[in-house]
Amino acid sequence: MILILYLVYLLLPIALLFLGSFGEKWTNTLLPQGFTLHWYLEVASDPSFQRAFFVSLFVAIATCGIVVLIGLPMAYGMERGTLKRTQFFTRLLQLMPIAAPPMVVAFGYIILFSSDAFPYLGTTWLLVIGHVVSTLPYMVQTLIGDIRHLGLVQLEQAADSLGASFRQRFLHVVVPTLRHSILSGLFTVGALSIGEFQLSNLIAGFLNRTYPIVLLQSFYNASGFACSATVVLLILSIVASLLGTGAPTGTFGERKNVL
Amino acid sequence: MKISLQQITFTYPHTLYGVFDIDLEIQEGELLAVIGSSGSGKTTILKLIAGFEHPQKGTLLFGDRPVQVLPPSKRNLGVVFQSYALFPLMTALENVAYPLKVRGVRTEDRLARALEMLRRVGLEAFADRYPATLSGGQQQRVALARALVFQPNALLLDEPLSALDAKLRIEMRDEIRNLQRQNGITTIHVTHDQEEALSIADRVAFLKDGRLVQVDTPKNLYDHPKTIEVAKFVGRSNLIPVQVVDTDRIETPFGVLSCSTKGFSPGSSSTALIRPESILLYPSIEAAQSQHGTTVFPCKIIRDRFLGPVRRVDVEVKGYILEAETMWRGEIGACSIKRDSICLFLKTE
Repeated sequence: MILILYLVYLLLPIALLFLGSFGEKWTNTLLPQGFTLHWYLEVASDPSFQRAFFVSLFVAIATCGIVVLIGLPMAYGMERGTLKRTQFFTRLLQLMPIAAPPMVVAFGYIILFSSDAFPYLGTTWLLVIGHVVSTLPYMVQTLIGDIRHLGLVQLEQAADSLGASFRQRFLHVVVPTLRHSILSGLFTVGALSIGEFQLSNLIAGFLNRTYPIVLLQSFYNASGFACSATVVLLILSIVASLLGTGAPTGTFGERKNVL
Repeated sequence: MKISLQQITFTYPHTLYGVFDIDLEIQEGELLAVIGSSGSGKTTILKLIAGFEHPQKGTLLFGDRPVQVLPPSKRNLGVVFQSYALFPLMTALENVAYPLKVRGVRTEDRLARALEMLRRVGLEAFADRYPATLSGGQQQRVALARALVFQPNALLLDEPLSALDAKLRIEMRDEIRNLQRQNGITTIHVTHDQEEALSIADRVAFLKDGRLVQVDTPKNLYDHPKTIEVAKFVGRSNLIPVQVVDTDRIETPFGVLSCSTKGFSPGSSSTALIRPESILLYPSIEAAQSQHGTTVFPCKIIRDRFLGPVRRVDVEVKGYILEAETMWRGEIGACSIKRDSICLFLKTE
């Protein structure tokens, strides 16, 4: 019962947004009237939305790339080290997204990067770095979980004893074994990056505002326009997270020729 | 290839655990079993030889060559892990061919050699299967094949049979022994199962708290354990506090026994080891005396366990309880103890 109420509470606004995006008129009625694709066309032809869409896409893709490049060696190093010190870092990394809200990070950036020494506030790359910092823990967590679960350290020791070099072990054992976790971590990171608002709102420049920020401003316009713009964002992030959770976790499904 | 450990000491960072002053030589073609309770350091020794850990002190030699600084990939050793550590995304054949692949062997050659190796462990028909679809015993064989296919200098087995059920474990024991003999390969087999060690090893090394206590043939380890710990760990034992009476007799809680006391002064305390099978059981005192001239004791069964081939009984002898094993299925009313089977230890516990 509680679950149903929760789902209604969660899904009703989404359903209304969806309806609103196709409705011609929506004033002083419970549901919108008429049917039109007009709003979607308008969103698609709006230059600031177009720009924001591609900025978001770029930021999300860049974030994903950097998060893998940093996260994989990080998770691997943390899991291989048995020292107390690394355990402490693991714990810190788990808590970081909760303990340090994006807003705090953003204020830090504003202070640091508006100085003459680092005048980078408002650049797209600073935005990417912000997203990397806030999404990295999710990737590292996913990877650490699977490194443990799949017994990767021992697999790698086995490869080592069989004569594989570090590069061979990494390419033949570590990456293939973790490919599903990397993929699923990536989609989570992508979805988070696409929907990120707090941090981006504070540190994005006028020309590289991400989609959610431009979206907020659209709510001062016609409701149908705002609804359809939101639906676009919603679909983007839902697709990303579904891909993430739906990514096959079994490691034996497909044939991969490694010989 | 001969492997020598000289004065090897290693402790895990920030702990007191490790191995200390290990002197051990494994001859070419020998199968050495390393036994000890968990935490005794037996797997650590394997890790040091494999190169997963590096000793803080001492010398490790392969033949005459010091190898401490070599990474595992350069040591050319076949390692079989407790969990087998087969690569889940490679088929059985690909797993076995992997060590050849990283050595740059041509595809057709390595596949042919891997298939031949799989045939030798009886898994030719399973070449295209993924590890997850193989049974424990089959995975074990794939792991063995993978560890042998590149003709390693030595084979290191880390509790390779502990995940298998009892019957398969015994079959695989013999199979490991056969493969080892066929290949004439120096092998170190770590196990907590003393029976496994005794049954396949040329020599057995017993470890306690990171130190080597005894390295001996299985027979010597069982019959002449150096310390009480060895006696307790290897096989079943009755350990009895005794007093040495003279050069030929000891006083036990249940009476005087005839036994050689060489090296012990009369009046000193000691602990006697009596294996359950060296306690001879008879239906009655009369029967015992007629068959066995020496000292016999009346006894009473406290607990009787039928194990199939043998019967393991706890008998009470003048208030003292002894564990005995016999193939005799009838009544039990008396016992005697073989003179030569009593072992004396200096320290009492």
